[in-house]
Amino acid sequence: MDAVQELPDRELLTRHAQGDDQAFAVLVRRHRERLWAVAVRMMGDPEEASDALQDAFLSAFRAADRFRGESQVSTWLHRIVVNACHDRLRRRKVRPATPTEDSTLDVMSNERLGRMGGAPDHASQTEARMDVHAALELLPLDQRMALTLVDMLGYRVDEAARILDVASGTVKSRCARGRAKLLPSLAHLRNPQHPGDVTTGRGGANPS
Amino acid sequence: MTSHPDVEALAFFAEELLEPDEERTVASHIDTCATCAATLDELTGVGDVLAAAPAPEMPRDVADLLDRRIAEAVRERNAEGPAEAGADPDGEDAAGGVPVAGSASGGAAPSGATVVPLSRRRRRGPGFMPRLMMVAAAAVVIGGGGAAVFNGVLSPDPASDEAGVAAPLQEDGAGEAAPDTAQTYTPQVVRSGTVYTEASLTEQAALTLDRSPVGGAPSSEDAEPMAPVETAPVGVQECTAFLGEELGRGFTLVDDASYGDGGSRAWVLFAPLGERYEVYVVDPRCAQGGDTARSVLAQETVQAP
Repeated sequence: MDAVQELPDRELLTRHAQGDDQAFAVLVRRHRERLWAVAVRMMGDPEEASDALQDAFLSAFRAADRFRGESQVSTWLHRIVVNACHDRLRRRKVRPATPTEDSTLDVMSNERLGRMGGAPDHASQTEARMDVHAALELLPLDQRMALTLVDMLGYRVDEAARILDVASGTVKSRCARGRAKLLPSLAHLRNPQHPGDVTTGRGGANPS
Repeated sequence: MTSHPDVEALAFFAEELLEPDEERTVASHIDTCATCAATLDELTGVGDVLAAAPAPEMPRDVADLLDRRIAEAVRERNAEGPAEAGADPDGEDAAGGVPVAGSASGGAAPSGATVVPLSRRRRRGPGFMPRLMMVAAAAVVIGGGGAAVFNGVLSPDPASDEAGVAAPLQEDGAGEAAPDTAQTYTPQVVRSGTVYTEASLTEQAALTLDRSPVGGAPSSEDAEPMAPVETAPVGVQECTAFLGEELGRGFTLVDDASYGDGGSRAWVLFAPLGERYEVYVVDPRCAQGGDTARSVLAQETVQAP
């Protein structure tokens, strides 16, 4: 058993494809925390993240013999999880992107104030999380996924590009478009240490 | 002063994605425009807010559920037999993977069965298949002569230590056409991915039914059709047979899904009853014999789609 635990990813996947009963479970334990983080941020909801993660691991289980050695196993698993999330997000009903915006922004800015030691906000952590995700819901899926990987999860652009199977430049431009779209939602975002910015900054967010 | 670049241009500028001309224009504009310089800062702030969004740790029950699903997938694969065991990944992978195996497993990679599966295969294969065949045979007997003949033939059979073998044949086939009877004992299995809850069971079950091959064409565009899985989970056959006998129902559809807050694995069984379907949520341990009724976690009746 100990030997199995220490095998490299690729060897585990090969053994699994050849019929080994234990190899895939070892692979799952090795990667599940990281992939959970991806799924829960993509989905914004633990229950849906759990479903997506199960879907993904079961597809990986069945598709192991189609793994091509060109990428890391970790990247391959990420891609499967991201695709599972993408499918679920696409199926989700598109929310109207209008009246919720203002409240979303307030909560997001409050969250930031709290984080920076400013006035405590009235929103719970849960509400804050849900509202960041509500803002993300406003974005096209490709922008949202790029931002989730790069800005929320801290993946390097080239890593995100491999996971999403697009060019690095594409990841950058999706992130840039996504941030630009989210910015109006953050119009009330203020750094409490520079209260003087309040008026001029607001003008900057929406130059007319 | 040049006109303000739009926010997207500033975001592209920050990522150094602009064409050289445009980049120079924006750069010189920012030098003299405090407003756009501030917007540029705020764009960085967007990333900070996203990075700070809290995300819950993976709950213990999700990890457990994942373990169970993978263990189940392993069992199903073994039940399918060793057919795929020799399936080679493409050459590149084999080349990359096998040499590493050499040190750990003596290079016996093609066998793959380094841990337990042979005994399990031996046990599952023969244990599982003959029972399926017996069920099929039973349907033929009923179709040809009736339940009485069947019971006379099989019930006293002491050769089988599987006490439930004869169970599916108990239903009195009085008003039933033979083909229906046969179908009753081979439910189609789907995996909808639904986590059923007590509160929403009716709607969830109705949707599953609608999407399933049993329910005919889906009634709405939201109902994405589901194909039956090729390999039923081990035990489903026994479970529907045992429970079907105990409850006097013939199950035509099983959803291999989850139930409740913990998302525990559960089978959702559907039995047609006139214009309705009776829905039973059961614990997969249902198949292990004994008091099968106790494995029923919830029960509901829904309208046929």
